[in-house]
Amino acid sequence: MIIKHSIKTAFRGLETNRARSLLTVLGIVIGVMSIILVMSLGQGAQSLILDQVKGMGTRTIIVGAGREPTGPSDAAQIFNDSLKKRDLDLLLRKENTPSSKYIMPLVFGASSASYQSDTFNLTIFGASPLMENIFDMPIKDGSFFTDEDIRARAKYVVIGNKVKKELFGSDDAVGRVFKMKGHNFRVIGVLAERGQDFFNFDEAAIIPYTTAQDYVLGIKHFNRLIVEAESEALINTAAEEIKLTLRESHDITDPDKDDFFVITQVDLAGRLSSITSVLTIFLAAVAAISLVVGGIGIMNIMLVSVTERTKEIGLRKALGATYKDILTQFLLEAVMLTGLGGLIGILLGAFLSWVISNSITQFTAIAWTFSFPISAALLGIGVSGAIGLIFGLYPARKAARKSPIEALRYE
Amino acid sequence: MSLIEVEKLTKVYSDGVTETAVLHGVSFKIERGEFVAIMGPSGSGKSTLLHLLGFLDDYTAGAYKFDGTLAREYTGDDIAAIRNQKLGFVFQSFNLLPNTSVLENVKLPLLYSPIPEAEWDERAMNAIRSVGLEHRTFFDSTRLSGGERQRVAIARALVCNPEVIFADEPTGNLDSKSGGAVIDILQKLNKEFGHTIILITHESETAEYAERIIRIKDGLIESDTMVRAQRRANGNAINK
Repeated sequence: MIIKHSIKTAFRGLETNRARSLLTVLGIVIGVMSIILVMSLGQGAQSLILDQVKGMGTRTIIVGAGREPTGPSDAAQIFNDSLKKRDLDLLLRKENTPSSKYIMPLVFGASSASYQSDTFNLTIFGASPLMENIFDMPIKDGSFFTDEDIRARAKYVVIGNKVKKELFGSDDAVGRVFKMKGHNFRVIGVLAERGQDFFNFDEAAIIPYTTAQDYVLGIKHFNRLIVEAESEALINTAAEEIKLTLRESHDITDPDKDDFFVITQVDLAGRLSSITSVLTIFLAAVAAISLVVGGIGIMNIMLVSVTERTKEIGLRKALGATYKDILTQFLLEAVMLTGLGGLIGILLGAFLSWVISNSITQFTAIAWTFSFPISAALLGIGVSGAIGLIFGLYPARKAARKSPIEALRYE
Repeated sequence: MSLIEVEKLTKVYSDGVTETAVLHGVSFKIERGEFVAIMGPSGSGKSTLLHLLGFLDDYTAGAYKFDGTLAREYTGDDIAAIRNQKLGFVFQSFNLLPNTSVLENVKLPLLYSPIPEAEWDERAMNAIRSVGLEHRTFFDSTRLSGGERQRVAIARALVCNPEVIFADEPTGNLDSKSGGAVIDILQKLNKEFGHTIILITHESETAEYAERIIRIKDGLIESDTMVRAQRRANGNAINK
């Protein structure tokens, strides 16, 4: 039998029981829909995270104090104070780090800020003027502090947009003085609003790192060194130069005993995206269970259908249908049923994901973008078709094996 | 070479515990172009015999040669092809597909045939015309009367131009007038187009249209008589 007619026949079989066909396929619809939803949102989350990491610049290298924590029991390593002023000075010598363009120390900590009767909890970043370039942070009002302010341990502060709103409302903030850790800081700049970012700069106060070390945090070391490589191609070379310089400075011969860590933006992006990937796969796998349940539903209804249409099967056989013809007819019915379910599921899943993405951007400050992975759609269609094949095979074989005369006699 | 050759054919039904013998060894030959009626009371085994001859069921012992070849030597696909192209079936209960037009019902065997699709409509229309139902071509099968339904079934049996048409009590569910029309069509197919007709019936008036009557009782052939002369005489009488 020509496949075109097999499809027609199968379609007719489904059409006769339209309501039942639709109800049967609901399991597949829901299964595929959840897979699509999970994968689509997963990809959205991933690109959001990656965008934020990329916001650091593709040439950025982060040097951290302490060994990079490898597990929860290792967490204490985070508080290591191995990055000292001496290290920074060594790194700043061009002969040690020829591939690096900027090297900026960074310290951070939490503090509350108070202005008149208002207080606000914020994050203090102690940085240098390079911060403006490395993190690409436009100043809305005022200006950034200068290298002179670093040397002078000036109590100048550049505040995030939210800090400004909380402390000063709609008033002009530049020139005003507020208190952090018992010291008065003069606002010299306000950052433009950034939205949710890798670091939440909207709720940050950025001050000269020397001021932060001496007056606010009371530390002598740096939490991070932020390095920008000369070019993207040199990023690994730059990272290697930093490692060698620091090992020499710390008298380390075995790289496994490093008391610092160096990660590039590429490393970070890769690590974060593998986390979201694993999460997405896990959720999709959970959703896939409903597909199996849906498949069992398909098998069940196909068995009912085969029994109901015993007489029709007998007739078709008497008129010359082969085993293969009958098998194909019922398999096609099952595959078309699940394929249709898959298609509806993909559309519904994509639509829901789009609605969710839109609500996220509308009701939160997160710059979420709707993304619809084609791979997920292909997977959805493929899996639902395969489920039709797998769960349709048994009923179809049962139909094809019927003896024509017994089938014709069936009442 | 006879079209159908049956030698000591036996059929025993078994449900695993008890065995019921339905045919105890019947032997006969049917030539191309014959119009044979197989008669017998219910339970005599006549329907079983027709199912065996029509490749719808498998026999227990003996031999059945169709077209010179033993039935058991045909593969499953061969048998499907024989059912499709050499045999046509007309059942007592019509067995039309519901919610399907007359045309689609008649075209059903063509779906499984090697006949090119371009010829399907013409063949189906010819078959419908030969049973006089061209005015019902696009009617839903469920809207037809019993007699019309059986004529559609005959058209369906005809559409692949088979050698043999098996009719299993074709008038059993019909009133005498529409039953007569059905038998007339079968007779015409035999006389004008040379189709071999094997008709099962328990009504002797129906059997009288045949040229030959095989009577079966308790799974054995009781008699096998040629009635050509008698039928001719009747036919002439009716025509005049």
